[in-house]
Amino acid sequence: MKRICLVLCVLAGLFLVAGVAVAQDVPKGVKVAGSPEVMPTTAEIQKAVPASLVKMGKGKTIRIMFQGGGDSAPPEEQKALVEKLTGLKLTIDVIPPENLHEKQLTFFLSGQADYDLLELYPTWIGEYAEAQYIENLDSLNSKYGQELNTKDFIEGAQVGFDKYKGSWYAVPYDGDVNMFYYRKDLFDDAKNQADFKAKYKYALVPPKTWEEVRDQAEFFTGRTPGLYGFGTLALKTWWAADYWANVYRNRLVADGVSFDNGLVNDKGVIELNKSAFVKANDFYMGLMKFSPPGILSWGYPETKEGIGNGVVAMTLQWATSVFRDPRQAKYWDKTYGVPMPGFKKADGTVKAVTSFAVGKGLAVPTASKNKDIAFLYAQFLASPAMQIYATNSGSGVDPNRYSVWKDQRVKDVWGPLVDPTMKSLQMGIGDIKVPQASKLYEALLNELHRSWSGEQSSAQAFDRTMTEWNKIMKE
Amino acid sequence: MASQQREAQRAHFRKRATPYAYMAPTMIWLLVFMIYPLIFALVMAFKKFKLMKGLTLWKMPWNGFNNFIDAFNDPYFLLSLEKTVIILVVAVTIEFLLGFLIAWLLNKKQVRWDFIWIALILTPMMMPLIASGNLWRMLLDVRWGAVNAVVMFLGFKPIDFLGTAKWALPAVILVEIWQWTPFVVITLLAGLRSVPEEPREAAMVDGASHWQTFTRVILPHMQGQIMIVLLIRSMDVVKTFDVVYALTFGGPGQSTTVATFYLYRQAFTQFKLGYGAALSWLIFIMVYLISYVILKLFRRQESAT
Repeated sequence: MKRICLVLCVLAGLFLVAGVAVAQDVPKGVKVAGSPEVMPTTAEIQKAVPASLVKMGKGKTIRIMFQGGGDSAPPEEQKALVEKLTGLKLTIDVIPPENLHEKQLTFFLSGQADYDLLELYPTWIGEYAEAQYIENLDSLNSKYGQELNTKDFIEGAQVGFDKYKGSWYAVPYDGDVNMFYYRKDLFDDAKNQADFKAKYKYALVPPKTWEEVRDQAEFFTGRTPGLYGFGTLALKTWWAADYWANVYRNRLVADGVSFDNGLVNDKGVIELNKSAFVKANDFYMGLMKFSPPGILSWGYPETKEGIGNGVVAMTLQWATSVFRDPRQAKYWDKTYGVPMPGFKKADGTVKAVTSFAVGKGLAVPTASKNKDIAFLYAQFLASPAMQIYATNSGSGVDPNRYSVWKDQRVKDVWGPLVDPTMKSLQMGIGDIKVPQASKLYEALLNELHRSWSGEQSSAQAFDRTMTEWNKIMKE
Repeated sequence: MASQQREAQRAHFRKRATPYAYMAPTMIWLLVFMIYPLIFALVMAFKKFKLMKGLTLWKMPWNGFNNFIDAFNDPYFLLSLEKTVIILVVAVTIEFLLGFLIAWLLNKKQVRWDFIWIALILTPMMMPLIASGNLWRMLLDVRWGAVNAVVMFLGFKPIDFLGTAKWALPAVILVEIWQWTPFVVITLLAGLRSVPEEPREAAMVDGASHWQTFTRVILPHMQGQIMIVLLIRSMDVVKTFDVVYALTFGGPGQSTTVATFYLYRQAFTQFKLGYGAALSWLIFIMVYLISYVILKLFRRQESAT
C-alpha cells in the first residue's frame, strides 16, 4: 500500500512539474486580458449604468437569454453591481451556441413571455422581425438615444449587425468581423523571403490578394515539419459558409458584379452568381490542399489552435485578441492580421470586402413586459465601459465603438490587431437577414460541404443550392 | 332498504373504480407526455407550418400527404436512410458477434474475478452519449488523436477519420460498437448463464460435437436474449443522433447525416416542423417494421423448435 501511495505521489509531482513547464508565463511588461491595469474601474462601470435604468429598475425582474461561452461572462460578472445600483433583479439563462436559435424559436412559438432580452445573431433578425417576435427599437432608441450614443458605433457594424429594412431591431453587443491572420516571423524570415522570391518572382509580404494567399499557402506547406500554409473553420456548421463567403464575395467584386450581400439581399432577391460561385469554390478547395488533414472537421477551437500554436502559417478567423495572449497562443507575439484579401480585377486593382460573420446583438421580444428596462440594460452592456470590460476580460465579445478602439487599454491588449480590425469593421458585409436565412444557409452549407468532401463539383453545388433557394424563397 | 341499496351500489362503484384511480396518474402521464405529442406530430405531419402563424395547429393550413410525398422525393432524406441502414446492418452485426464472443469467454469457468471484467466492459455504456462522441472526436483526431498515434506507430500514414467522407461513417460505426457492445455482452452473458447444464451434458454424452451443442442446445435456449439484443439495438441504431451530433455534425458533406440527424436539422434548424413531423413518422414506421420483422422471425423460430 505504501509503495502504491509513493508511486502516485511521484506521478502527481511529475504532472505538476510538467504542467508548470508547459504553461507559458506572461512576459514582463506585456498587458493581457484580465490584467488589472487594462480593466475599467468600478467607477467607470457604475457611470455606464443609464440614469433611467436606476430610476425604473427597482423591484423589477428581467430575464435574459445569452449564448454560452464567453458572451454571458460580462453580464454575469457585473450582475451584482447592477442589481445593487438599480434594485433590478437579473435572471441570466445561458444556452449553448448550437441550440440558441431553436431555443429562441421555441420560446416565441410557445407564447411564453418570460424573456425580456435575447442575444441573437443578425441573420435571425429578419425572421424574428417579420414574425413580430422582436420589438422595432426605433422608438425606444429615440426615447433613450442620447444614453446609447449610437453615433459612436462604427457605421458598417451598425448597418451590418442590427438594422433591418432601415430600422433598429437590436442593440449591438459583439462586434465580430472576419480577418486574415498570418505568422509574421515566417514572413519576415530572410531565407523564406529569398526562396519565395526565387520561386514566385515577387516579394513575400502579407497578402493583399487571394492569388498571393494561394502561392504563400503552397510555399509554407511543409516548409518546416508539421507546418501547413492555410487552414480555417470548415466543420459542417453555417459559420463555414460565412467564412467561404469571404472568397466568394471578393470574386464578385473582382468580376465587377454589383451586389448587396452576394447571397440573398434584404429584399429577398437571390444574388448568387454561378460564375463567381464556381470560381470561388474551386479556388477555396484548391486552398484546402494546403490545409492540415482533417480540415473539414475544424471548428473554432482547431482554427484558434492552428495559427496560435504553429500548425498553419495563415488563417481566416473572427477578430479576436486571443492570438495576442501568451497564455493562449504559443506564437502570440508573431501572429499579425490584415484586412481580408481580395481578387485582382481585370485592370489589376484590388478592392476587398469581408464578412461580418455572426457578430451579435441584443433584441427585446415583443412579448416582454419590461421593454424599456430591457432596452436600457442592453444599452448598459453596449456602453463603452462595458465594451472595454468585455473585450479586456477575455470574454471574446469584441468592441464595435470608435471610442473603445481608441482606448489605450484596448490597444494594449489587441496590439497590432487594432488597425486591421477597425478597417475590417468598416468594409464588412452583413449576413443574409431575410426570414428564410437559416434555411438558406443550411442549403448552401449542405451543397458546399458536399463539394468540399468530393461528393460533387462546384457547378453541381451551385445548381443544387439555386434549386433549393428558389424553393425556399417561393415558400 | 333503499339506503342499503345505495350503500351497496356505492361499494360496488368504489370496488370497480379503485383500480382506475390507481392507474390514473400513469394514464394521465402517458396521455399528456406520450399520446398527445404523438397525435400532435401526426396532425402536424399533414399541415404546412408557417413560423409567423405560431404553433397553433388549427391556424396551420392543411398540406395533405405533401410532406410525405416530399420526403420520398427528397434525395437527402433517402441518402440519410441509406446511411442509417448501413450503420444498422454493420454495427448490429459486429456488436452481436463481438458481444457473443466476449460473453462466451466471460462464461468460461477458468475466468476468475469475472465481476471486475464485467464492470470494466460496461464502462463505455455508462458514459453519456454526447460525452463519448466528444471523447472519440479527440481520440480520432488526425493530428493529435490517440488512435492515429497507434496507426503511425504501426508504420501507416495517419487517417483522417472525421474529415473525409470515406472514413467518417466507419468512425460513427466504431463509436456505436464501442459504446453498445457491452449491452450485448451483459444480456447474452445472462442468457448463457441461464442455459441449464443437463441438456448440455446430455448432448455431450450422446456424442454431439461442440458446434452441434452450441447450435442445437445453447442457441435455442438463448433465443429470448438474442431477440432482445437485436430488437433493442436495431431500434436504438435507427435513432442514432448524439454520436453524430458530437462527432461529425453530419459531415463531411452528407456522409454521416443519418435519418434522425436529418430530421433534427429540418425541424429545428430550418424549422420545417410539418415536414419534420412527417419524417419522424416515417422513421417511427421504419423502427416499427424492423421490430415486427425481428419478432416475427423469432416467433417462427420458436414455434419451429
